[in-house]
Amino acid sequence: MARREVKRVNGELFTMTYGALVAQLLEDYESDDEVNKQLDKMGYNIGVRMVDDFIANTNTERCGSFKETCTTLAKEGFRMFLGVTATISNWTADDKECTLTIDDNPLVAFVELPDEHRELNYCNMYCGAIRGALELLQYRTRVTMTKDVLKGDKDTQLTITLLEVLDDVPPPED
Amino acid sequence: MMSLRSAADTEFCAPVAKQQQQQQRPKTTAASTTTTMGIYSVYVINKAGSLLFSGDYAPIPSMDANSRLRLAGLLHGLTTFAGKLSPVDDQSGIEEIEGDGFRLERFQPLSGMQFVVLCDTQQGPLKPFLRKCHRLYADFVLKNPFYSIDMPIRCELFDTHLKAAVEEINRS
Repeated sequence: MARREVKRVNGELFTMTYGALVAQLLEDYESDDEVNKQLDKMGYNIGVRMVDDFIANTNTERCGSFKETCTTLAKEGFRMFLGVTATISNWTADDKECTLTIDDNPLVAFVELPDEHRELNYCNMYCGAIRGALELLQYRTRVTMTKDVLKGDKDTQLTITLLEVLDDVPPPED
Repeated sequence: MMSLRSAADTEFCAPVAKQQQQQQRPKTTAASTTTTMGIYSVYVINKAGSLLFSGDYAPIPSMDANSRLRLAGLLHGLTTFAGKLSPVDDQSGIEEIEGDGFRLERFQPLSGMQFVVLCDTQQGPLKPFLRKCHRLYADFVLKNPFYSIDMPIRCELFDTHLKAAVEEINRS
């Protein structure tokens, strides 16, 4: 099967491809804000495609709660697609918001953020991908970057907020 | 419910036509050494009940596109209904329908996609096959950057790999 054949790709190639993509977006769009949006959108499109791959290739059981889903995503999802693990912490009392910390963020290996792009969330594609993946599992979420190594923080942190549990799927269009 | 009957009849009468097929078979699958039919058809339905893919792998009476769409929608509706009927919290819906001359197996992974296979009654459990369909879908449909989500599947790689998977089952 296809995935077996291309199981390993040079990590630096991946990092550099992402870098080239972000650099090109910065050239094509006026503001950092717009680039953040585009990265999020691309991530979303990847996320909704990735989740089936994850389910098909792992024996994941249905997660009983949002909390459980996020933990699986951080532990197994990140390991499967990026080869790193992420940790989930700081749950709010109502279990609707948590922080995801990416321990060894592979995207930022060679990156120095230029001063004129302080608003850029370089790794914003993560946010979109997580949002997309969770949406297919009936969780509508908001994912934002709260800490960024490129901006002097110690590690990369995303905040995941559950907005709504999508219950009824729309009726089939004829 | 009437529409269920009529739409279902078109497809589910396939076994009635089995006699015919058995006479035809030597002609159509001359190269094959098998004695049973195995898998008749495979359907891929999205979480909203729209038919994304359908393929026939045996010489069964063919159905027009509209009937297929209607059938997919109906099966989806029925399975939602079946889930609601369940006295315990069970979201799996219909997993199997058995008739005198055919069997339908349905598999719905957590993402909500539905994979449906129609086979003859002699055919053993097809859950592993349906899981494979899901993997093929993840690999050759979703990873194809030019495929838009929830649109009908027209991916040659998916077709060929699915056909190979079906033939592997039908041969054994």
